[in-house]
Amino acid sequence: MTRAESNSTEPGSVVDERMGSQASSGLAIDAQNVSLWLNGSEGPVEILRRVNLQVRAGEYVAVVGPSGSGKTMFLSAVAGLEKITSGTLKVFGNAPAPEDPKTGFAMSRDALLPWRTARGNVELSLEALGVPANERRQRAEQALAQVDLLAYADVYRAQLSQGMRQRVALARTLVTNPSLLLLDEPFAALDAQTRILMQERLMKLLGSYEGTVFLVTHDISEAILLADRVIVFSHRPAHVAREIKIPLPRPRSAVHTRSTQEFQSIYEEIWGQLSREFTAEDL
Amino acid sequence: MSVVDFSQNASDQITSEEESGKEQLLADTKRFQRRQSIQKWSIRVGFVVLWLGSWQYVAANKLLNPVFIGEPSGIWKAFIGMLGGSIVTTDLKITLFESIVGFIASLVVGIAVAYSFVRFPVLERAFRPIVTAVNSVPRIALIPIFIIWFGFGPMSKIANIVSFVTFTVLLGAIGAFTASDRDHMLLAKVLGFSERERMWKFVIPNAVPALANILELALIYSFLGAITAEMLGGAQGVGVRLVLFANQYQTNDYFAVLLLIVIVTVVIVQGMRLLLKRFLSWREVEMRGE
Repeated sequence: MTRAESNSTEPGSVVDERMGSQASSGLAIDAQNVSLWLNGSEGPVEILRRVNLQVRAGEYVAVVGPSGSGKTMFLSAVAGLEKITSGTLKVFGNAPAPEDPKTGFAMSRDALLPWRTARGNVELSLEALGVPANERRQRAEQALAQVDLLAYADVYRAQLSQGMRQRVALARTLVTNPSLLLLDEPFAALDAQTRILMQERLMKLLGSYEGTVFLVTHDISEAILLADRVIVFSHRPAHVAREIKIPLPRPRSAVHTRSTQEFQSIYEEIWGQLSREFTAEDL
Repeated sequence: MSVVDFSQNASDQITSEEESGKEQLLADTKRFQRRQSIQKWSIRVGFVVLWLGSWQYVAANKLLNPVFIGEPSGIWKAFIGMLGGSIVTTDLKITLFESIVGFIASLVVGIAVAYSFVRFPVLERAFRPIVTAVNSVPRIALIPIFIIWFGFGPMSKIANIVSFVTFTVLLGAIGAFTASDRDHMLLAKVLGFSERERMWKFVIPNAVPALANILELALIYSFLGAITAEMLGGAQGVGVRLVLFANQYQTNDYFAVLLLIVIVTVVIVQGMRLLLKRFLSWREVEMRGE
């Protein structure tokens, strides 16, 4: 298992510093003319049309787009869950594969197994990598401590709140130390307040994270808060409509950053682009 | 913007008034639960007393012929007399042996076939109509054939049990194995588990509660299968005794045997529930939803 150990950055460093130190590490994601068709009930449907997108190692990139635009499908392709129809897609120079230990995928719903305790759920990711039981237990507890849930290690899903379940799911993703973190609308299933708390927590966790983050969301403020760069997908068949750099300084705060003038103007810029991508049927 | 300070309301002190209110709530809840329990038991006991009492009354006063309907007090006497007799020491033992062997064989075959159907869906698609067709055969009609093949001993009874309980297990287990959560299946893919690991880590644990219910049903059906086959042709077993008692109009003895079967079945089903309990502890937590 190789990890991006060369990525040495201080927690909470400013964007440009982080970028600079990792420019040499190459590309985490490299998509060239990626097209993807799926079988629909009335024949093949075009989901992605020649998507060109690069994510440098260590960079935080968010994709926003109209609902059903295919952004989640693109993420699935990066995770190796969907086959692309044409073009080339590389993750750290290789074809994407779900069993690749370098990528960690966080889904929008927690998908915790109700018959396993919180620890057992976190250990699941390590079982997939064939980590021995002793080490599994230890690493799972470390990951649970990271999300402040060590006290709940022996508790079943039903005994956890919605936010706690999502945190266990996050620990399950982080426990393998992925170099590329793929987040698929990570907090979409949470209520508005819990979501803000989770965003805050995620940003704190990412302060000590040295890998790459690729996030798909329909929440524009979530994209701005987390990313160095926001990519707007067009309506279906999706291609990259626009890229917007987010020069907001780090560390950012889910509450305070939102109220800054800069944040507001970026929000409006992204929304302006996004609203153009909605078709008449969306409204 | 004016801000009102509510902090004095959020004091940590619980006043004596609040304390007594809390105790009142606890006392009320307890009283309500006790009242519910009393209601439940009085309805339950009342129903059984009324049922047996009217039966006894009708039989004792010859409103209906007790030779046909039996008499609760007579049934109880016959039941007590039966304990320690050859019905328990020989016939019940044989019926139990047939039922349990038939049950285990059906379980093994049913679950193994269901597993392979779910693991290799092409098998299920290929065999589904054949399974439906075979399962449509009225199994009771096969008992004479089983007796020709296997004789009047336990083997023909076991064959009868396997011939239909296997399908109960198979169809139930397919349902249990295919009832997996879609998010769990996606997670299995995301984490890169193999097909085999997916079955053992996701599908089977998820199926356990449903399988436990099927086990219970299969056990009861196994008794049914043994007794039916014994009644249609056997040398020993409680089913054989039932036919004998019916032919001789020994109604009280007949009902006493039925009572014995019910008691034994309930005890075994409860024992199985106890054995399965530790596999289902998570399910209990889930249902309570703490």
